[in-house]
Amino acid sequence: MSDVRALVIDDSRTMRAVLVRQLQTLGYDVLQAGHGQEALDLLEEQAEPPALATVDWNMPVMDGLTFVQTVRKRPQWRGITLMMVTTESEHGQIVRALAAGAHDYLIKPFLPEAFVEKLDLLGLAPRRVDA
Amino acid sequence: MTTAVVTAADVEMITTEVWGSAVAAGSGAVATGARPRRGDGLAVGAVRISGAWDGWVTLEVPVATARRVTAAMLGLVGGEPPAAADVADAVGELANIIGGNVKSLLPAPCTLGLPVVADDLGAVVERGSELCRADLSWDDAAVCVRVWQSPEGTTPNQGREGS
Repeated sequence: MSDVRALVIDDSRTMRAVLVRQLQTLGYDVLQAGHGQEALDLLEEQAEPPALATVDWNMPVMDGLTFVQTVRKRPQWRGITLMMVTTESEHGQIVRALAAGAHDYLIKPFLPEAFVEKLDLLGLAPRRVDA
Repeated sequence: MTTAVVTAADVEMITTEVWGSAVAAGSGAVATGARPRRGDGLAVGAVRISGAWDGWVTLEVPVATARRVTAAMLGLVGGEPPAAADVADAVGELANIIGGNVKSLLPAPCTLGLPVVADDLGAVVERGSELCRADLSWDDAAVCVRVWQSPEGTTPNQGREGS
Protein backbone atom coordinates (compact mmCIF):
# COMPACT_ATOMS: atom_id res chain seq x y z
CA MET A 1 0.00 0.00 0.00
CA SER A 2 1.24 3.49 -0.81
CA ASP A 3 1.97 5.94 1.97
CA VAL A 4 0.50 8.79 -0.08
CA ARG A 5 -3.26 8.93 0.03
CA ALA A 6 -5.96 10.80 -1.84
CA LEU A 7 -9.72 11.09 -1.49
CA VAL A 8 -11.85 11.28 -4.65
CA ILE A 9 -15.30 12.79 -4.11
CA ASP A 10 -17.73 12.61 -7.01
CA ASP A 11 -21.28 11.32 -7.35
CA SER A 12 -20.39 9.72 -10.68
CA ARG A 13 -18.73 6.36 -10.20
CA THR A 14 -17.39 6.70 -13.73
CA MET A 15 -15.58 9.92 -12.89
CA ARG A 16 -14.35 8.42 -9.65
CA ALA A 17 -12.94 5.47 -11.60
CA VAL A 18 -11.16 7.81 -14.01
CA LEU A 19 -9.57 9.83 -11.21
CA VAL A 20 -8.73 6.77 -9.11
CA ARG A 21 -6.96 5.19 -12.09
CA GLN A 22 -4.89 8.30 -12.69
CA LEU A 23 -3.99 8.73 -9.02
CA GLN A 24 -3.06 5.08 -8.62
CA THR A 25 -0.75 5.48 -11.61
CA LEU A 26 1.00 8.18 -9.60
CA GLY A 27 1.36 5.88 -6.62
CA TYR A 28 -1.57 7.06 -4.53
CA ASP A 29 -3.67 4.90 -2.27
CA VAL A 30 -7.16 6.23 -3.03
CA LEU A 31 -10.30 6.55 -0.92
CA GLN A 32 -13.64 7.31 -2.56
CA ALA A 33 -16.87 9.04 -1.59
CA GLY A 34 -20.07 9.73 -3.53
CA HIS A 35 -20.89 13.06 -1.87
CA GLY A 36 -19.57 15.55 0.63
CA GLN A 37 -21.14 14.07 3.74
CA GLU A 38 -19.84 10.61 2.92
CA ALA A 39 -16.40 12.16 2.47
CA LEU A 40 -16.58 13.91 5.86
CA ASP A 41 -17.60 10.63 7.50
CA LEU A 42 -14.67 8.92 5.82
CA LEU A 43 -12.25 11.60 6.97
CA GLU A 44 -13.45 11.22 10.55
CA GLU A 45 -12.42 7.55 10.40
CA GLN A 46 -8.87 8.27 9.28
CA ALA A 47 -6.03 8.43 11.77
CA GLU A 48 -4.15 10.61 9.28
CA PRO A 49 -5.94 12.72 6.67
CA PRO A 50 -5.12 12.20 2.99
CA ALA A 51 -2.73 14.59 1.28
CA LEU A 52 -5.22 15.41 -1.48
CA ALA A 53 -8.97 15.51 -2.04
CA THR A 54 -10.52 16.00 -5.48
CA VAL A 55 -13.97 17.50 -5.08
CA ASP A 56 -16.87 17.62 -7.51
CA TRP A 57 -19.22 20.57 -7.10
CA ASN A 58 -22.73 19.28 -7.88
CA MET A 59 -23.50 16.25 -5.74
CA PRO A 60 -26.52 15.05 -3.78
CA VAL A 61 -26.68 15.24 0.04
CA MET A 62 -23.72 17.64 0.38
CA ASP A 63 -22.20 19.58 -2.50
CA GLY A 64 -18.51 20.17 -2.99
CA LEU A 65 -18.49 23.81 -1.93
CA THR A 66 -20.07 22.94 1.42
CA PHE A 67 -17.54 20.14 1.84
CA VAL A 68 -14.64 22.53 1.23
CA GLN A 69 -16.07 25.08 3.66
CA THR A 70 -16.52 22.38 6.31
CA VAL A 71 -13.03 20.94 5.91
CA ARG A 72 -11.46 24.36 6.17
CA LYS A 73 -13.08 24.90 9.58
CA ARG A 74 -11.36 21.84 11.03
CA PRO A 75 -7.71 22.41 12.08
CA GLN A 76 -6.85 18.71 11.88
CA TRP A 77 -7.71 18.72 8.17
CA ARG A 78 -5.77 21.87 7.36
CA GLY A 79 -3.09 19.84 5.57
CA ILE A 80 -5.45 18.43 2.96
CA THR A 81 -4.97 19.97 -0.47
CA LEU A 82 -8.40 20.48 -2.01
CA MET A 83 -8.81 20.45 -5.78
CA MET A 84 -12.23 21.13 -7.28
CA VAL A 85 -12.83 18.90 -10.32
CA THR A 86 -16.12 20.02 -11.78
CA THR A 87 -18.14 21.16 -14.78
CA GLU A 88 -18.81 24.51 -13.09
CA SER A 89 -16.68 26.81 -15.19
CA GLU A 90 -18.05 30.29 -14.52
CA HIS A 91 -15.54 32.76 -13.12
CA GLY A 92 -17.74 33.52 -10.14
CA GLN A 93 -17.96 29.84 -9.21
CA ILE A 94 -14.19 29.44 -9.39
CA VAL A 95 -13.70 32.51 -7.19
CA ARG A 96 -16.22 31.16 -4.66
CA ALA A 97 -14.45 27.82 -4.46
CA LEU A 98 -11.01 29.35 -4.06
CA ALA A 99 -12.31 31.82 -1.48
CA ALA A 100 -13.81 28.92 0.45
CA GLY A 101 -10.42 27.28 0.67
CA ALA A 102 -9.93 25.16 -2.45
CA HIS A 103 -6.32 25.20 -3.61
CA ASP A 104 -6.94 24.59 -7.28
CA TYR A 105 -9.68 24.12 -9.82
CA LEU A 106 -9.91 21.72 -12.78
CA ILE A 107 -12.79 21.96 -15.22
CA LYS A 108 -14.31 18.83 -16.78
CA PRO A 109 -13.59 17.56 -19.34
CA PHE A 110 -9.84 17.34 -18.86
CA LEU A 111 -7.04 15.31 -20.31
CA PRO A 112 -5.02 13.14 -17.92
CA GLU A 113 -1.99 15.32 -18.62
CA ALA A 114 -3.82 18.40 -17.33
CA PHE A 115 -4.66 16.64 -14.09
CA VAL A 116 -1.07 15.53 -13.57
CA GLU A 117 0.15 19.03 -14.39
CA LYS A 118 -2.08 20.46 -11.67
CA LEU A 119 -0.75 17.92 -9.20
CA ASP A 120 2.80 18.76 -10.21
CA LEU A 121 2.19 22.45 -9.58
CA LEU A 122 0.80 21.57 -6.15
CA GLY A 123 3.80 19.35 -5.45
CA LEU A 124 1.52 16.33 -5.30
CA ALA A 125 2.62 14.15 -8.21
CA PRO A 126 4.90 11.88 -6.15
CA ARG A 127 5.87 9.24 -8.66
CA ARG A 128 4.60 7.47 -11.72
CA VAL A 129 4.11 3.78 -11.03
CA ASP A 130 2.95 2.76 -14.48
CA ALA A 131 3.14 5.11 -17.47
CA MET B 1 -36.67 34.31 -19.05
CA THR B 2 -33.69 35.24 -21.17
CA THR B 3 -33.40 34.04 -24.75
CA ALA B 4 -30.33 31.86 -25.13
CA VAL B 5 -27.63 32.30 -27.72
CA VAL B 6 -26.28 28.77 -27.86
CA THR B 7 -25.88 27.49 -31.40
CA ALA B 8 -25.51 24.08 -32.99
CA ALA B 9 -21.89 24.92 -33.72
CA ASP B 10 -21.30 25.60 -30.00
CA VAL B 11 -22.85 22.28 -29.03
CA GLU B 12 -20.88 20.41 -31.67
CA MET B 13 -17.62 21.98 -30.49
CA ILE B 14 -18.34 21.22 -26.83
CA THR B 15 -19.36 17.63 -27.55
CA THR B 16 -16.29 17.03 -29.68
CA GLU B 17 -14.05 18.35 -26.91
CA VAL B 18 -15.82 16.31 -24.24
CA TRP B 19 -15.57 13.13 -26.30
CA GLY B 20 -11.92 13.74 -27.07
CA SER B 21 -11.06 14.30 -23.40
CA ALA B 22 -13.45 12.17 -21.37
CA VAL B 23 -14.14 9.23 -23.70
CA ALA B 24 -11.38 8.71 -26.18
CA ALA B 25 -8.36 10.30 -24.47
CA GLY B 26 -7.54 12.91 -27.06
CA SER B 27 -7.97 10.80 -30.14
CA GLY B 28 -11.72 10.54 -30.39
CA ALA B 29 -12.72 13.38 -32.68
CA VAL B 30 -16.44 13.22 -33.34
CA ALA B 31 -17.41 13.93 -36.92
CA THR B 32 -20.82 15.06 -38.05
CA GLY B 33 -22.94 12.02 -38.72
CA ALA B 34 -26.37 10.49 -38.87
CA ARG B 35 -29.10 10.79 -36.27
CA PRO B 36 -29.79 7.92 -33.86
CA ARG B 37 -32.61 5.76 -35.14
CA ARG B 38 -35.67 5.11 -33.01
CA GLY B 39 -35.20 1.36 -33.33
CA ASP B 40 -31.66 1.45 -31.96
CA GLY B 41 -32.67 1.46 -28.31
CA LEU B 42 -31.45 4.68 -26.79
CA ALA B 43 -29.69 5.71 -23.64
CA VAL B 44 -30.67 9.28 -22.84
CA GLY B 45 -28.82 11.45 -20.35
CA ALA B 46 -30.13 14.86 -19.39
CA VAL B 47 -29.30 17.75 -17.11
CA ARG B 48 -31.56 20.62 -16.27
CA ILE B 49 -30.28 24.16 -16.29
CA SER B 50 -32.33 26.67 -14.36
CA GLY B 51 -32.06 30.31 -13.41
CA ALA B 52 -31.65 33.15 -15.88
CA TRP B 53 -32.25 30.52 -18.54
CA ASP B 54 -34.32 27.40 -18.08
CA GLY B 55 -34.14 24.19 -20.05
CA TRP B 56 -32.24 20.96 -20.52
CA VAL B 57 -29.28 19.53 -22.33
CA THR B 58 -29.77 15.97 -23.52
CA LEU B 59 -27.40 13.34 -24.86
CA GLU B 60 -28.83 10.46 -26.90
CA VAL B 61 -26.77 7.45 -27.92
CA PRO B 62 -27.69 3.92 -28.94
CA VAL B 63 -27.39 1.55 -25.98
CA ALA B 64 -24.65 -0.45 -27.71
CA THR B 65 -22.66 2.75 -28.15
CA ALA B 66 -23.30 3.71 -24.54
CA ARG B 67 -21.72 0.40 -23.51
CA ARG B 68 -18.64 1.08 -25.63
CA VAL B 69 -18.40 4.61 -24.27
CA THR B 70 -18.59 3.28 -20.73
CA ALA B 71 -15.94 0.66 -21.39
CA ALA B 72 -13.66 3.35 -22.82
CA MET B 73 -14.17 5.69 -19.87
CA LEU B 74 -13.64 2.93 -17.31
CA GLY B 75 -10.65 1.53 -19.16
CA LEU B 76 -12.18 -1.94 -19.41
CA VAL B 77 -10.11 -4.36 -21.42
CA GLY B 78 -10.71 -7.71 -23.08
CA GLY B 79 -14.29 -7.05 -24.14
CA GLU B 80 -15.56 -7.13 -20.58
CA PRO B 81 -19.12 -5.70 -20.72
CA PRO B 82 -19.89 -2.88 -18.30
CA ALA B 83 -22.72 -3.26 -15.84
CA ALA B 84 -26.00 -1.54 -16.68
CA ALA B 85 -25.60 0.77 -13.68
CA ASP B 86 -22.16 1.80 -14.92
CA VAL B 87 -23.57 2.52 -18.38
CA ALA B 88 -26.27 4.74 -16.90
CA ASP B 89 -23.71 6.52 -14.75
CA ALA B 90 -21.36 7.15 -17.66
CA VAL B 91 -24.14 8.52 -19.88
CA GLY B 92 -25.31 10.75 -17.03
CA GLU B 93 -21.80 12.02 -16.39
CA LEU B 94 -21.25 12.83 -20.06
CA ALA B 95 -24.56 14.72 -20.14
CA ASN B 96 -23.43 16.51 -16.99
CA ILE B 97 -20.09 17.55 -18.49
CA ILE B 98 -21.65 18.66 -21.77
CA GLY B 99 -24.43 20.47 -19.90
CA GLY B 100 -21.96 22.25 -17.65
CA ASN B 101 -20.06 23.54 -20.63
CA VAL B 102 -23.27 24.63 -22.37
CA LYS B 103 -24.25 26.46 -19.17
CA SER B 104 -21.08 28.51 -19.40
CA LEU B 105 -22.47 30.03 -22.62
CA LEU B 106 -25.83 30.91 -21.12
CA PRO B 107 -26.83 34.00 -19.18
CA ALA B 108 -25.82 33.94 -15.51
CA PRO B 109 -26.80 33.05 -12.91
CA CYS B 110 -27.85 29.53 -13.76
CA THR B 111 -27.75 26.33 -11.76
CA LEU B 112 -26.90 22.90 -13.12
CA GLY B 113 -29.05 20.05 -11.86
CA LEU B 114 -27.98 16.49 -11.24
CA PRO B 115 -28.04 14.24 -14.30
CA VAL B 116 -30.95 11.95 -15.02
CA VAL B 117 -30.81 8.92 -17.30
CA ALA B 118 -33.64 7.14 -19.08
CA ASP B 119 -34.30 5.08 -22.18
CA ASP B 120 -36.74 7.60 -23.60
CA LEU B 121 -36.39 11.32 -24.22
CA GLY B 122 -39.94 11.95 -23.07
CA ALA B 123 -39.06 10.69 -19.61
CA VAL B 124 -36.58 13.49 -19.04
CA VAL B 125 -37.76 16.41 -21.17
CA GLU B 126 -41.34 17.59 -21.16
CA ARG B 127 -42.80 20.36 -23.29
CA GLY B 128 -39.44 21.85 -24.13
CA SER B 129 -38.74 23.41 -27.49
CA GLU B 130 -35.56 22.32 -29.26
CA LEU B 131 -33.21 25.29 -29.39
CA CYS B 132 -30.41 23.57 -31.29
CA ARG B 133 -28.86 20.17 -31.85
CA ALA B 134 -25.63 18.57 -32.91
CA ASP B 135 -25.68 15.24 -34.73
CA LEU B 136 -22.32 13.57 -34.46
CA SER B 137 -20.83 10.15 -34.78
CA TRP B 138 -18.38 8.11 -32.75
CA ASP B 139 -17.18 4.63 -33.55
CA ASP B 140 -19.64 4.50 -36.47
CA ALA B 141 -22.62 5.25 -34.25
CA ALA B 142 -24.81 8.30 -33.97
CA VAL B 143 -24.50 10.68 -31.04
CA CYS B 144 -27.05 13.44 -30.62
CA VAL B 145 -26.85 16.37 -28.23
CA ARG B 146 -29.78 18.74 -28.00
CA VAL B 147 -30.49 21.91 -26.07
CA TRP B 148 -34.11 22.39 -25.04
CA GLN B 149 -35.67 25.56 -23.75
CA SER B 150 -38.53 25.36 -21.28
CA PRO B 151 -41.72 27.14 -22.18
CA GLU B 152 -41.88 30.16 -19.91
CA GLY B 153 -43.64 29.49 -16.65
CA THR B 154 -43.62 25.70 -16.80
CA THR B 155 -41.97 23.34 -14.37
CA PRO B 156 -39.62 20.89 -16.03
CA ASN B 157 -40.09 17.17 -15.52
CA GLN B 158 -37.56 16.17 -12.87
CA GLY B 159 -37.12 12.64 -14.28
CA ARG B 160 -35.37 10.16 -12.05
CA GLU B 161 -32.25 11.24 -10.34
CA GLY B 162 -29.00 9.83 -11.61
CA SER B 163 -26.08 8.86 -9.45
